[in-house]
Amino acid sequence: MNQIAVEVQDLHKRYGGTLAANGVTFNVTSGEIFGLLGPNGAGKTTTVECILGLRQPDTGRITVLGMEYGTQSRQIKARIGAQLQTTGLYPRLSVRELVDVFARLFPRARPADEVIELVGLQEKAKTPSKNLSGGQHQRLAVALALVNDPDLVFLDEPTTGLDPQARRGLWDVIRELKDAGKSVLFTTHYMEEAEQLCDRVAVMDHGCIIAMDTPEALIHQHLETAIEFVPLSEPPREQLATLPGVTQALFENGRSTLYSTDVPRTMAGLFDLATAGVLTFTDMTVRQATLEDVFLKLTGRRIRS
Amino acid sequence: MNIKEIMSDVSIRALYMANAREFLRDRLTVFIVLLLPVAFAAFFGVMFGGSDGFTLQLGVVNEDTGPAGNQLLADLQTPEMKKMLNLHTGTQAEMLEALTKEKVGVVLVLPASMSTSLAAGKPATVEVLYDPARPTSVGVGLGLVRTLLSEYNLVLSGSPRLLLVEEKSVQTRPLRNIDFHVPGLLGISMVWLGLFGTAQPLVQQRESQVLRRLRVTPLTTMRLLVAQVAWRVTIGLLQAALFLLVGHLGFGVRMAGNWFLFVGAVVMGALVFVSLGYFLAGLASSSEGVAGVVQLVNFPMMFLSGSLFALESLPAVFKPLAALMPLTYLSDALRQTMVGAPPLYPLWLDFAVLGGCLVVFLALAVKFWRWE
Repeated sequence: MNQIAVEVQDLHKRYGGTLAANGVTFNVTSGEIFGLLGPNGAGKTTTVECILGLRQPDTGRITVLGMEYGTQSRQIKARIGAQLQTTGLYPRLSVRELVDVFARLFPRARPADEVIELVGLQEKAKTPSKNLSGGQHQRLAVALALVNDPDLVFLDEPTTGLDPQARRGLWDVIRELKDAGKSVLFTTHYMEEAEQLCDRVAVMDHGCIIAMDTPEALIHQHLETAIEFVPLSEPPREQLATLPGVTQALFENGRSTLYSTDVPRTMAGLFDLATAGVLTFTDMTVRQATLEDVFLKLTGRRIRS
Repeated sequence: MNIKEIMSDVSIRALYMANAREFLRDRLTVFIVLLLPVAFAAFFGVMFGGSDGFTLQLGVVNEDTGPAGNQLLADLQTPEMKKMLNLHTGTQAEMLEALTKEKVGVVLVLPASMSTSLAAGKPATVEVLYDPARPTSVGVGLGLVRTLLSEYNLVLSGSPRLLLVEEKSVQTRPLRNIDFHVPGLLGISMVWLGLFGTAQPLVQQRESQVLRRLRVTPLTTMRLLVAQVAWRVTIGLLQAALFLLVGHLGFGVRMAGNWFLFVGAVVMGALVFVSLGYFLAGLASSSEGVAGVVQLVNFPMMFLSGSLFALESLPAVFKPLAALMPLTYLSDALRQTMVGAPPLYPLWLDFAVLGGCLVVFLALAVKFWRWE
């Protein structure tokens, strides 16, 4: 069965002079974990808000679980769960009370204790939400997203602010959702996370999707090997970019990165430049490219500035 | 949606309880919205509780040596008279000093020749001394003294009184200051419920994105609003109960009006000002902004509506403004239905104006409503 959980077709949304979404098209397949990546202002939030029914697209079509907003808004909302970047819910209500309140807003719900245990907040069940730490708050928000046993879960940077242990715990929760046949759409700043979890990722910039595939395929397609070093004087950019095997050269913050399909020949060229005294450098590393490199190459920016 | 559907709706009940818990656990808001108005009423009660009714401090200088002067003094000390005045006697010098020290309001000087003149059937002149700088005690005092003396004239001349005055208060109980203040402050507390208990928390909820989060659930806007407004009307009713309790136990304020209409006025007042709160929350874009807007509404409403002070004590310029304040009509309705105060406007007009305000505020609230 290869059903579509979310279908976004040629989505346009304009705020004043800026096009926040400029022809966004993608599908999330049922049972898939789909990651939406992009720098701030890339249009991720707008796209997601349209999918959640918080905003109306100017043009374009959005289908969620086979239904459309307008006539079927309530049915859609009953079957999706969302963790949003909220700074506080009812601050004086306890974790348990909040989960209970949200459970009652849906026609069907999982037992509150089960959801609280899932995100590891059992010991904080009676704590008012305002007394939770940032990470605990984040986990509470995830619990609220799962309370209605949704078929599509949306998570907005769910692991931001979590310690490494809690982060891995949440990864397990997300994988369990997938195992249970749910679809997960999430945004993240952590490339490692996207590589680990996502079946597919889409990279957004300036309101458009500029790349979309499995993490492995993206890395493979776009990049080869990264050679990084710290130049000690102004690097000869032209010459570096045209070394044998180099597909792209990036210079930023006192660090140079060469992406190469042929490491031995690129290295030889580098050392020739060094011997000729055109380039002095230190702290060189050669490593496998990551999704972070893909992002850097595609957008010219690191995902976190 | 009828009442039964609302009461049995799981999501409305859940949100109602969430609102209730959130409110009751927030001590500062509970204090401002629920307790401060009652504390104000108690304060007013203590401040003005003692000055109910007017007792004239009357000084008398009796220079008359005959029986007439003494007779008059004795007549001024009957239990009947003691309700209205406190008698002070002494020499003219003593009484003048008492007058300047404000110990007495008015001084009567009975002339030395009074008994002889009266015995001879001639009129005697009683001097009345007062300080024109103190208009209240003089105004009332002089009136009282004139009445007393003309009564006395009739008695002395032996002519029959043709016109008898029988005093009957239309009140079962005379209205005191505190009876005026308690419903007025209850009215103000409804305004605070709308401003500090509705507009401000709503903007905060918008800022903390609770409302945005609730929108990604099947909850309808209607149900969200019903839950929030129902809880606030509950606060209004709690408030009214608290006022009745403190007013009754603390200051002997009695429910002299109509229970049904009183509860109607409370619910109406809560609805009017809660919808005003929704409107203001829609106008303001931040919690700092709403704090300003709230004060902008609060102060004129408090001081120009005749809730805190009687309208008669306002300068004439402000009087037309009072007619523009919805609180004027609520306080009037509450005074009529709670303590049976004389109407400023007919009760039906109060309810009609409040109903009109409710419709207007609701329309504005819907027009300016923002989820985020």
